[in-house]
Amino acid sequence: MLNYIFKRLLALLPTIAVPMVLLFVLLRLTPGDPAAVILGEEATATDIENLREEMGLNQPIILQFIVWLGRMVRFDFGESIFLRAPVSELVLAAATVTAQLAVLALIVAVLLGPLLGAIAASTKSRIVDKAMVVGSAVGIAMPTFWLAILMVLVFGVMLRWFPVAGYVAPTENFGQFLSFMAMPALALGVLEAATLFRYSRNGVLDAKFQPFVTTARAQGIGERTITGKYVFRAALVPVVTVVGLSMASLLGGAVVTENVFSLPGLGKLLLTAVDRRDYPLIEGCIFLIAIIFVVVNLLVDVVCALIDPRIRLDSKD
Amino acid sequence: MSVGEKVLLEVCDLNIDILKPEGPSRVVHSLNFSLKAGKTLGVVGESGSGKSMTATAIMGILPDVAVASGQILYKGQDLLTATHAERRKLSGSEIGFIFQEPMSALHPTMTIGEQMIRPMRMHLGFSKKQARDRASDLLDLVGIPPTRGVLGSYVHQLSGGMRQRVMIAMSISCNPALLLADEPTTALDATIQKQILDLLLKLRDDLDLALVLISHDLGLVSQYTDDVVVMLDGYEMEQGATQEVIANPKSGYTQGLLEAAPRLGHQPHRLPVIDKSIYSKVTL
Repeated sequence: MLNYIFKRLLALLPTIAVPMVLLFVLLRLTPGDPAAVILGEEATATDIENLREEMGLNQPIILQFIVWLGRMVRFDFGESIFLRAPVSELVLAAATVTAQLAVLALIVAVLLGPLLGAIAASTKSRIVDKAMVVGSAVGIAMPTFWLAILMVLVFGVMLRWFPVAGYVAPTENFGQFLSFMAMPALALGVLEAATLFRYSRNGVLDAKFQPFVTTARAQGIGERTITGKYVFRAALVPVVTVVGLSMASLLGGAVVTENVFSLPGLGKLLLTAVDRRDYPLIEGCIFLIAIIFVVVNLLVDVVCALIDPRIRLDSKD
Repeated sequence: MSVGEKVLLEVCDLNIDILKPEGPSRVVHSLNFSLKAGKTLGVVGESGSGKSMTATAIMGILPDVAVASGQILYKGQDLLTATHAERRKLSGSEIGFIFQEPMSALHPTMTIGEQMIRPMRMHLGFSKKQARDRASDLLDLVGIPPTRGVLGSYVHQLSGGMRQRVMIAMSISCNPALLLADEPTTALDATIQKQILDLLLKLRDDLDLALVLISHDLGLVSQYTDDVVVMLDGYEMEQGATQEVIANPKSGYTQGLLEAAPRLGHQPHRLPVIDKSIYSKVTL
């Protein structure tokens, strides 16, 4: 197992190199000149030209790529063009906020989704089951920003339960941190729970009719133990995989949610950076997001192997 | 049959219906048989003859869509009218079940030890240690020495024969008096098949079990059972002492089954065929 994890960590660098190179190419293909954006609309052509020279944008693309590659292998992301601060600092500060949001949303999703899924799969009432399935379909179909805006309207503006937008660090005031985080975490988490619900319900339904459940029944084991131990443990593997995948969509959802709720997270930083063609900042953000994806994938594989002995990690690699 | 021994299991006028939207469809028709301790009963029939349905009805694990009526008396108690709690007390501790496919009948992500221990703790009130020790002894009894470390393994790590041995060890773990074996060797190759059946007979004698052996293989059943019930399409074709039935089949269907068995050195020009429609009481 450790051997496997080590090998996977080694494979991490090339895995991240691919999106980074793609990003480099795409950024340079995208219309919009960073120099022009920085200097604003009143800049003269010579001003822009001078800044382009200073930023190295006038060099041939191959040369730019080699310089860029040199910086990348040293993990040197440089300074943000606009914010005039080291990219690594900016990105890490923003990532902390995003991590808080993602973890809270994941807690909501993991508490709600599998539980409701198990209930829907076990209930004898067809109406309850159907209602929950329809509910989850609505949840899956609903865009994050729409639910987010709806929540702002209902709980923020009309009921005034939660602040509409903003952020307080948990180290500063934990209560306030929670009240600012409640709506974004719920908006993200509830929608993610809808996906988890579907997989949990299917997993439980599938496991419920497996022969080993009949075996347990033939041994006189109670229905509650059968559901809690035998069915649940067999249904767990696909659910864990989906939890991992939802980490990915949580990050994607966070980009939108953070902008609705003005959270100073990675998503908001990335969007601002793209808006301003802040190349170094975009690269820093994407680099971190890519790392998170790869590491989460590795974690999911390891956890799946721990709960399902049939998955042998070493032989696959 | 020896006189004076008490009848352990008595199936009286058992009917099993499958509920379908277009109405119930009967898969077992007024079946009768009885079994004493220390004896083996074979139930023989082809796929769809209702033999497995009968076994699942005795075990109380019929699927939700199936309904049994009539009487299944175990030690005088009617299993069909027993409450859920009463049945649960009997399942595993009085009646053991051996499934056809141990691969799928054992839990994929639980160790063998964990699966064996739970019923013993429940029925026998054993501590974890006691149950583990007994599980190890039982595996030894069915031919898996403790040095193999099977208790800590998972089902996918075992061979087919080992799996079925584990299944058998599990089924006798709570000292049942009756053992139902539903095609216990169908998933195994011929040499292992003999080992497993010999093991079952040895256990029957050592533990004074009553054994119901369900199979599609009349040849096999003839070697291992005292009595036999031959079934076709949910109806009993004939029943009686196995040797009697083999030597003197009353039903043409049984005769056909016997003739269909391949014989060494005998190469028929055309293989014998059973025209099921002559014997089947089901009209399509």
